[in-house]
Amino acid sequence: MFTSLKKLIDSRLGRLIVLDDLATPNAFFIKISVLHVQAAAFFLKNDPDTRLIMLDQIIALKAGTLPWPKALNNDRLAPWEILYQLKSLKLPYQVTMTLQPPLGSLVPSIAALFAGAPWLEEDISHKFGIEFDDAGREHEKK
Amino acid sequence: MKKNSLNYDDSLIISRLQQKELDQIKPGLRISHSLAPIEKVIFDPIAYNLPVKIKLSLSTIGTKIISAQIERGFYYQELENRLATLSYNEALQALALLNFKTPVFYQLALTRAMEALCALSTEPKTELLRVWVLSFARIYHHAQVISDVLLSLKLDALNDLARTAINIMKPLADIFTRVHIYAPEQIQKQEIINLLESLENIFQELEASLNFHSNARLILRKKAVVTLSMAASFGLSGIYLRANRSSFQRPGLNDGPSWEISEGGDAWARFSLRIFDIKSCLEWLKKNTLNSSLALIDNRPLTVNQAVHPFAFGEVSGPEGDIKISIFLENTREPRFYLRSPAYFVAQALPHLLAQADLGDLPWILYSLGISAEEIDK
Repeated sequence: MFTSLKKLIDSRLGRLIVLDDLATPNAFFIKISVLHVQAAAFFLKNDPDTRLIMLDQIIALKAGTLPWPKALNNDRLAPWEILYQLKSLKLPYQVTMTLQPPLGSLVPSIAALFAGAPWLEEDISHKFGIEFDDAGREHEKK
Repeated sequence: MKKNSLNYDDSLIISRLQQKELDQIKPGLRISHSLAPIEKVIFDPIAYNLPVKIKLSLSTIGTKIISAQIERGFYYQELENRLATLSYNEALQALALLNFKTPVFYQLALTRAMEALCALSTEPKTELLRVWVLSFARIYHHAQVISDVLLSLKLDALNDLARTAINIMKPLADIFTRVHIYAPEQIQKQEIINLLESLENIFQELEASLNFHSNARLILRKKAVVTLSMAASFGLSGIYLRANRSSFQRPGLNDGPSWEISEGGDAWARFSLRIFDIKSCLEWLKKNTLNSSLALIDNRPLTVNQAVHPFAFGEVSGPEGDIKISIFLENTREPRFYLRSPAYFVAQALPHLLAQADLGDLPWILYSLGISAEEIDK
């Protein structure tokens, strides 16, 4: 069990991945750079210290809903935050990985890592107009 | 697909055992309670002109299913939006539309989320009562699924047994499978104890019959296999994980099942686990008798305006997996609701479960998953 998820990821993957972190009594939140979402999800799923192998939910919220210590006020960022709730099967905790994509950019899909992701990403696209890069799914179809 | 629409009247039940069970139960089923039903809200997807279509397309060669696709209508995405505009009591009613038979799982998930949001504590007595009601609803749900599977397997005698269990639970199920605001009144404990004992007898007989009936085992084995990694990847929890011997979410299973559960998470393993779940719940219910007060929720207005935290989650372990309701307050006041329904994830995994299956296996594969159509359509 880790004490700081940010420190753990910083030590394993470098300091550019996790932009911010937030711990509440019932959940850990980490803010990820949009470019590294797949790498971070892969790490959280496969690292023996985390083993967050279950995708619980993907949801989207207005930016500013979560009380991040380092608030980002950037006009070039979309007004939405995307939250990926991941669970471990061994330990009773959940980690929420969040990202705020730049305006007009595609968000990398995690469908190749979690089979439950496509419908959840589709729902977010349908509801908020956030586009996901579904190259992974195209590959699956072929 | 057309669901079983047979009505099992008392007059249709001719088995000696079933008649005996009914005789035992019937005289005592007049439970004195006064219900103050929560106010009704009209939430009709057709009236709102929402898409309600769910379509399963299959590609086959001969009788072999090569691939399957499922289409949704995004119905309960609209329900999530609507929840933000409804009062707490109205939202409880709207959530009941997701599962008509056992809505208490969704309703208590919402209650827990609201209580967490407003930092309200629950009395241990109430919490125990909630677990009692959830356990009862779990038995009722599993009995329905077991009956459907047995019907699809054409095991009529065994299906009759399961139907008897459902029939004798029905009068109490109207009370114990949904959230009402109850007036604290005396409940005749002896009637409930009689019911539980009768159910125990029925399920013991069902289990014994199934142990001797190799047909069900042969048919369900190696069908609709969901491995542990597949279950986790698809977001399937509950029996899908337990059928793979995962230690997750099995606090009461330390002694292990009393009869064989096949490994590898196939339809038989899940079917066996349902019976095992029923037995465990019955045992627990017998040990923990009900209090006289039946207040599952407080009879007071609960609104997001009382929120103390910016977000909260309410989670209930349902019979098919985790049911979760997340509430986030955007711009500090506007609530946004998210629902996590196990059926949604099962539906997403359906094409994988059906691929390479035989067309003839379709009914029991679908029935053994225990999902209802209205829960799928997110």
